[in-house]
Amino acid sequence: MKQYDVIIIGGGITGAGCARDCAMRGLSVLLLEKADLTNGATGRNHGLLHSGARYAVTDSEAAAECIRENRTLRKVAAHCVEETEGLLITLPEDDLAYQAKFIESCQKAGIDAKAIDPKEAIRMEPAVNPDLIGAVMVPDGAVDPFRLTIYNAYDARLHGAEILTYHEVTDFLKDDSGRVVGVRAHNHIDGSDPEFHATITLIAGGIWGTVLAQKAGVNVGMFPAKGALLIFGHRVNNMVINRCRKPADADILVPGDTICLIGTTSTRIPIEECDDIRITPDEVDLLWREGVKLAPSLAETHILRAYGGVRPLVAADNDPTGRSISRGIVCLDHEVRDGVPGLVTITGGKLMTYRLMAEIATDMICKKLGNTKTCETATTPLTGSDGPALKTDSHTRSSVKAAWGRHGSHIKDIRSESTYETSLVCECEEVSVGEVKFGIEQLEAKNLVNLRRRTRLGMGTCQGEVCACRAAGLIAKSNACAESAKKDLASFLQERWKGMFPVTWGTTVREAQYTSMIYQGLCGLDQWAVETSTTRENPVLSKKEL
Amino acid sequence: MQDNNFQDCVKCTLCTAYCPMAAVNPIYIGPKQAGPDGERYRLKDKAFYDYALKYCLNCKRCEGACPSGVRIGDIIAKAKLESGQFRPGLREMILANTDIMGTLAVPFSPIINPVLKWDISKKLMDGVLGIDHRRTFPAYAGQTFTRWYKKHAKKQQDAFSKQLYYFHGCYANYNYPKLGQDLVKLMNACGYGVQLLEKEKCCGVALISNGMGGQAKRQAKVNLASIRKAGTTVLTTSTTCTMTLRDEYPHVLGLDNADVRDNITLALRFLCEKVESGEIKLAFKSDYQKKVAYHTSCHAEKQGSWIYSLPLLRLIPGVQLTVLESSCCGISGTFGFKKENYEYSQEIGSKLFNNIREANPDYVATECETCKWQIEMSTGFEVINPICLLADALDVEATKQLNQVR
Amino acid sequence: MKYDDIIIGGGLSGLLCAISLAEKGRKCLIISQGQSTLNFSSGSLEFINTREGESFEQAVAQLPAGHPYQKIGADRLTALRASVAQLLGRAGIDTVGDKERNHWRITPFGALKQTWLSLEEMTHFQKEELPRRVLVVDITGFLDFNATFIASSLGKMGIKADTCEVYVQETERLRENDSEFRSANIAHVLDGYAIDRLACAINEKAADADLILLPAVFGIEKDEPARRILRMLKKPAAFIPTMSPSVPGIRLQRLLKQRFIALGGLFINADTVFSADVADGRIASVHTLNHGTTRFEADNFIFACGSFFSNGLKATKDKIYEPILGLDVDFEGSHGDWFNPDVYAEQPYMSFGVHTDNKLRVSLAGKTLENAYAVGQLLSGASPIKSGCTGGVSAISGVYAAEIILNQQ
Repeated sequence: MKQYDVIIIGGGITGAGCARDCAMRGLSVLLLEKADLTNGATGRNHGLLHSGARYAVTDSEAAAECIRENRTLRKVAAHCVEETEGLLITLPEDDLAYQAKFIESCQKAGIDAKAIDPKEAIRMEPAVNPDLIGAVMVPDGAVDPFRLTIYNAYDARLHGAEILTYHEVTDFLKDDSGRVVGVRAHNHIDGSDPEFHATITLIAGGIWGTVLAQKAGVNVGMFPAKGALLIFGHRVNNMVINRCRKPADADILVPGDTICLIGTTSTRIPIEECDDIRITPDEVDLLWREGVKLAPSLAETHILRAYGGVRPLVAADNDPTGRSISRGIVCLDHEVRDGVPGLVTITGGKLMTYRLMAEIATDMICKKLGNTKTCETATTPLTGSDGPALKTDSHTRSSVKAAWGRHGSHIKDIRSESTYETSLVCECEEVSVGEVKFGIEQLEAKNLVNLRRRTRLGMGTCQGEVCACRAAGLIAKSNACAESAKKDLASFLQERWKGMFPVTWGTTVREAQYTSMIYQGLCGLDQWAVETSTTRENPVLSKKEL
Repeated sequence: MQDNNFQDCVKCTLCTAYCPMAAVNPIYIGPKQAGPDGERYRLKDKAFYDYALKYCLNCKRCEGACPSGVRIGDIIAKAKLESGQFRPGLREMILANTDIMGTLAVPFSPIINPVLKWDISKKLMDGVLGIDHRRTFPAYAGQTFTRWYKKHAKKQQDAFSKQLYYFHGCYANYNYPKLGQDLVKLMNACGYGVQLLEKEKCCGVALISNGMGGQAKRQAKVNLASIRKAGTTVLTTSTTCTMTLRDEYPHVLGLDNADVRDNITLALRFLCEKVESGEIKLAFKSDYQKKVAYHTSCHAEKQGSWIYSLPLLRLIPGVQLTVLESSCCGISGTFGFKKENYEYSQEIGSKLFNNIREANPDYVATECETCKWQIEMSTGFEVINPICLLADALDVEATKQLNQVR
Repeated sequence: MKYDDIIIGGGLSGLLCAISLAEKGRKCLIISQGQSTLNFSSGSLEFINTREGESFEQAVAQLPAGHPYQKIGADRLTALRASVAQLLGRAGIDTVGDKERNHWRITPFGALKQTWLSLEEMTHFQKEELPRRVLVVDITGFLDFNATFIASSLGKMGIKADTCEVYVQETERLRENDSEFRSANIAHVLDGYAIDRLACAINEKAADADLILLPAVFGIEKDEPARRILRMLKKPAAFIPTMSPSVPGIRLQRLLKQRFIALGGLFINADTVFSADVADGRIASVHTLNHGTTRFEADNFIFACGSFFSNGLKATKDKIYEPILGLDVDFEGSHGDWFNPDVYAEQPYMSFGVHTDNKLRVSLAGKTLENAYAVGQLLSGASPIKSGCTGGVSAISGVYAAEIILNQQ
């Protein structure tokens, strides 16, 4: 039986970042994720490359951490980051006096924040609310959390790590001394329950990690705060727009790839609800209303979907809103804290500080294992971010331009020799047959939702209507599993609908009716609809057919 | 604030099914990708502009197909203008400046017309300019319509109690003054005086499609000022000029014309409505016998203006009318003149040409001048504007009597 | 401009209504906002789903009172079904289908679906006639048709289904761009070429099959190219629709429009009716965006504007409305009630539509408009996708409204 140095539980950005760091230091690594990479909080947030400005007034330590990581990620994860820069605007209803305090705090934290003339702000970002009375420019940006996680995992694999998705850890294995020596996991693909052994087990499972930790006899107090967001069909703004005031609901509008999104809210929810986040009409109203204040044209912009995630915050006090809780990084050595050797938890933090979290956790693990190699993730570019910029002109196929944005230097691995391979599968997001194959073969997509996260297929304005059946056909072909592929397709459209129906009016009703006409009326896809469990959005294709 | 019309697209792909260019030219990325899909990417980064947009014919058949009301053609036209990648060369300057070329050519038409027909000049234009040698150039008239009007018609117009204006366009002015003359004849017989606008410039459609947005906008402003000054109905005889004046000015050039848009109307629409309401009565010669095939030009299809042409043509007792299935002739203004487009142009039109041959008419009737060039060159059948057909068949004296014109 | 009847909407219901009227010499104008959902057609019209052994009449009897079939009246439906088939025939559209019971078609995913009236060349079976051995033909690299999906489903039904891929050289040029290898473009190319080689290639592989199933990418303008390939194949063959756009659907739309125009009808495309003048409980005239000041007057107005997709109905966060006149709409509850979180469950919004009386006359603020009718998907009360009555409701209500108008004369 194979003995690993470290087992990492959780395939979010923290787990993927830890896997990469551990692997780069020469450890043998196994990452276990109960569903797909980014399935939890990682895939359900703003995608804001924080400058730290938002925390400058309330938490200068977090702000300083943010800006350092911001600068690092621009360098080492260039293909996951878009350097949009950000504006913090003051509206007539806001207190302009806050601006001075804000700038001062930013400077203290090392964030380059400068006040600019509102007119200049409008020139730079024509979508901004023209009623603004003040504007500050900060080095905010956009980061694609799917890409960042998947490429961290890919990089880890290139460094020898094993990544197993759809493996849900069900229990910890302990030796006679009470030391955690591995885990038992349920394989959702074939239904088996294998055991895996490692010297150190690292819990990087966010809010779900808390529940799991209890099984090892360890209590980590976590605070699940639900955040709701709306995605709009296209980019209204090309700079991040924030409100220059004490952080509140729905005050950040982030441009992300072809879309933009507004968020978020913050509501405490019971831990049981974390697996099935539902967006309420009130949340939709609030997000929309506040979003329009940032960029008035949002009022006329097609809302693609509403979705929500859970902030994995470490409970520190009883503040019911969750906003004042420190987002600082928590790395727990359970040997010291709880007398459970072999077990470490990394939690808290933010998407922005994932690399630092990984560094801290890996340092602790290395110390335990007697490994002295130092961390290189702050200087070694992520795979994909290590090549020169693509030279394009108006003759370059737009699928190539789009794919370069998504896969950076790995575009060389996307086959484009034949006109079939350059044919578009997803026309909204310009995903070619070659890119779909790359997603299936290299990035290990096991179903349509996996593929969406790896390529943006189905994330565009038609929400999969055009491309889902084409992609299902390609998966079926590559895995010889036509019947499962149809079930997967049925579930994929159900998953898309989950985000659509809370915002179904205007164009979205038309899109929904059209999709039903085609997939149910014309094709009879409802015959393949399966009961989807609430804990996992998509069924995994069965091993036999895979 | 940007125009959000592109976001109404639900990706049904019907525009692509009805696009004449996509059906024959595999380099063209089709109206969906070129229009709303591309627009989403261009909003992200202008570098996503695709050169293949140059193949869009601006026929607007995509807009006719779209169940979502997306102005696909306009989106593409605008993207081309804004791309800055569309640098007009000498050929584009020559083809797009229809009025300058007309002004220069008309005085020398006895020389120019035959020269344009010489093989050697065709070869020269092909080699030097990239204007296809297989293309027949429309002949220039010996005298412009405006000159004829000043000499022979202007004085009589003031005598009418009812007055209208006429936007003649380049074609009627430089190539086919008979169209303008026939309009004056028709309207006069019905009791309307026809005035010309204080200043008329080319509507600019060719400038827009050849990437000269700035000039198009300047000319549009002149036209709009004249139309405003006219303050009453301005008749047109070209479907393309009409569409440009009414719809492209606001949608592509960003010029608001809401106050005068409804004043600009095809003469055929004006006539048809007045005939319907009984305000105008038409009498036709009893011995006029013609077999006519009506061709719905792309811009007549887009504007729905053929619903006025058909009832009028059906009024002529001796006309035996066939309605051809609406389809693009392939020329699309200056597009088909370009060497690299010739084959596409002819392939697109082939279905229409076959239908015409099958109908075997005396005339093909259509309101579009470039369709006329294309159909005449490609089929040998004579093409006539319905206005001319009405004027030819008109019993002028009887019509005057019916309308109590002295 | 004065017409006998103005039909707003140029899809199946509008065209069948208009053709019925024009055939009786009435002067009709269709004002259409763009292409209709007929362009996504399966090549079949469904009437109503029936259970094993159930007749149409029995299935209709179980429909809710507000369903268009109930308004029209069960006794009229048999005759109307016959009228629709004859009317299509006069437009050059040959169909097959039993008057009293459903047959089955094979869907692009290989499911069997019940249907009433199918284009002759599409798949159509009674269950007892299902083939034993089929060959499903794929065009190499065509993403909108999936022979494997079809074959695997048929296999589960005990049919021996093989697939074969044919490489069509003539259509490969369509791939010079990334997006346009679509059914309609393929049909444009194939219709213009000699397809002997294609037919040969299929024949070679079809030795053992008793039925060949082909993607419906033949005959976009006329049915001749579709018939031609069937003639050239040595085994019986039938078409299965592709993902949209639907080539047989486009052809249907085209033939119906041609029929209407040949009858002297006028058709405005790509225009939007934005207002109507109502006086004394009647619509006097309508106005469109393109024609501005022109008043389109008529004795009767038929709203054939479709459902949400076609913009015949619009939804906001708070209400469902009919955008031209604000006609009375049947809908219930608030936004949260209109949509079922399960996309495959019955969706309440699908049955929302314009309120009508039994003569399909619409109403405004509770008052019936004497000369205005609604037909097709705009009607309330049907859940067309779930109960399998999309094409039937459109075709039958269109013809029925025309009958009522003609009977009044």
